[in-house]
Amino acid sequence: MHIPDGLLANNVNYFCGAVSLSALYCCNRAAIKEADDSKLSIAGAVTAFVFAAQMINFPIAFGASGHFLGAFFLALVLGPHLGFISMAVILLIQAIFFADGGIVAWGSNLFNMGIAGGLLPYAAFKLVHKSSPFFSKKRGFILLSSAAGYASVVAASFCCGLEIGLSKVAGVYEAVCSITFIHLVIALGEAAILSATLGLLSAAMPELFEPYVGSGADKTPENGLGESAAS
Amino acid sequence: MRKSRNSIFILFFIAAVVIALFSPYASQNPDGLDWTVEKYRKTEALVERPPGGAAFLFADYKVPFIKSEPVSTVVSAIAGVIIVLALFRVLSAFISRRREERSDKAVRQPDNAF
Repeated sequence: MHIPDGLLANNVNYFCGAVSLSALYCCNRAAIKEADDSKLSIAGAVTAFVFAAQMINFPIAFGASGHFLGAFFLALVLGPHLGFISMAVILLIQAIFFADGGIVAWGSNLFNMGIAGGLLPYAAFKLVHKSSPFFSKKRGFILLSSAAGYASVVAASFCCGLEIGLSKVAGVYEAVCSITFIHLVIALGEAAILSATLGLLSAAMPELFEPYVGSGADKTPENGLGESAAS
Repeated sequence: MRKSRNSIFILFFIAAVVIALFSPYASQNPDGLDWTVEKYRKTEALVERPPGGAAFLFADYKVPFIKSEPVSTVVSAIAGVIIVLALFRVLSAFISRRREERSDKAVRQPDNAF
């Protein structure tokens, strides 16, 4: 879903770039304010993990392929602010070193994958998570996270289609329908990878998900690792 | 047993390297975006790199001077992992320093009140 340079109209890139940079500024300020070293110390490795996972395209139907997006996963593990910064770093490195996604289109890619694919699904996840104690159990948490992961890919692709349509590459309706349709299938892969990864991680490193699972779910929802992991 | 931050870091790093080793097996089919765009524009212009694309160090996840394609992909993937870690090292230092400045200011604030 990495938009190359030359695909979108300049105005679309400028608008998305302005929104993304504003969000990045706010997230940076919030990350500084949070003062949570436990998340900061693992952020590099978690970001590297998502970067590597994004390289593995899996084949789907209709001769297309998809890859793990990971924006919601980053928000879940590192918190929404640091998670958004991580996504910005991944997209920047992919654009500068790997020609994967454009440099001018970096803001649009961050808008799609960071805001629509990360911050929004995380906000929805938090709302639903609070609504029932079932989601504080491991099974409920993984189920809800997989659903949010699925929604994150669909939301990102919807925005991507909108941008393509507004850039007059295709009609807005055709572009949105076409790209969202194929990502409805790709998102199944995201949900499957997310549920498998969260299942493994919540068994091996339960402290990562303390704010969401078990008794810790009521305590510090903003703290990605919980206080205990910092010691 | 609880894991320290260091062991969590190492586990994620190892996972990233292991995934990077599997990168040559990634599907070559067009991704969701390319698949969509190809339907509307018959030329390849959209998926081509813009002018100056040759300047990218690991364009298309390949190292230019390594002939073997799988090795080239793996090396570029591991290079990417290292670049991400290095950049985050700098970023973490920046955020930590800003936090310290903030907390210093907060401590000094009562003295400067009057």
